[in-house]
Amino acid sequence: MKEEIKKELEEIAPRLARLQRPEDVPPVEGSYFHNLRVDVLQAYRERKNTAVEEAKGPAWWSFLSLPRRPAMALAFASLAMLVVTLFWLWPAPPQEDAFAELKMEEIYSYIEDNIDDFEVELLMQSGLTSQNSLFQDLEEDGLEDYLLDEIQEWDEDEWEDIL
Amino acid sequence: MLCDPLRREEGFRQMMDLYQEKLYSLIFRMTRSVDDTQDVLQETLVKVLLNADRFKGNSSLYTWVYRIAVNESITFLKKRKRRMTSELEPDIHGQADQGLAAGLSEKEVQVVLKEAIEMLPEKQRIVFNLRYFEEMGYQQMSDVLETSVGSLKASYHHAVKKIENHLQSLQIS
Repeated sequence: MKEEIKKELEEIAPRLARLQRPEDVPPVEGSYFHNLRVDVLQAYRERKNTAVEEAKGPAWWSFLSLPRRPAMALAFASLAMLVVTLFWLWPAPPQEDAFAELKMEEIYSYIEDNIDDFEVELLMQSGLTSQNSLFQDLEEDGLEDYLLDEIQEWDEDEWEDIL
Repeated sequence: MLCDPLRREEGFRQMMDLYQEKLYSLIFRMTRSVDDTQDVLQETLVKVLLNADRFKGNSSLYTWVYRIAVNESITFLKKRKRRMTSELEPDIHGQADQGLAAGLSEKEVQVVLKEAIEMLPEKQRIVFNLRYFEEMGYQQMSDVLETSVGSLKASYHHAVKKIENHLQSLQIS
């Protein structure tokens, strides 16, 4: 035992200092460490390969793959529909009245808070769509399809304008 | 060498030559089980290899590897503690007191000492093991456990005092 540690021990615990330090670790089998090296290297290679596979896709791919998950897809679709609806209804005079006193932050906050409760059916019933001639002849499914098609057509500038 | 992806496996073999027994002992003293030690040691070494890029050389390789081993052991102990039911936990105190009196053989005293160490709370036991068995300096221990030197000194002092009191209560001198 190092002198410094032994001295410290003698000062705090003279009984313990006098005892022989126990050999408390059982001996290992002869081949254990050799096998361990093999197992560790194998596990390392496997995990490294897995990590490489996962990292192969570019960063934007993982973002684009988010809508593939059902819950995320639903949320994206609902949010997209709300955004498109607002986009189309925003310039209409009745909408200007309805949203005149709301700030953009408040609208975004409202959308975030209510995104889970949003239903296309309610939008249809609200009569807002009837105020825009584009929606007048569309049923609920048609409206959804239309909005999704519109989103896909948007270019980067239009997204920037909306967001 | 361990940090170089092309020479990592060679570096690993060299590291094993230096530290494999020490790491095994360190982990065994924390888990007190050969099977658990083997599991924790393997996981520790795989993590060392996977995270070798993050080793910046601010501390020694020995300290860095020890830190991973200690963290892995602590994580394992927490999981094991959750798994264990109270009736499976050994009554160490009871075992130690059974039939003990003055005039114990050397072997019996060793058993008592080991059991006294096992009685220590986890943090104190880790600090005690690193100091008493691994003969680690406080500064290095501080780097491994990411705890202040003062706190480590206090933990070691408490641990040693507890063991000393236990030995005294059994009239072991």
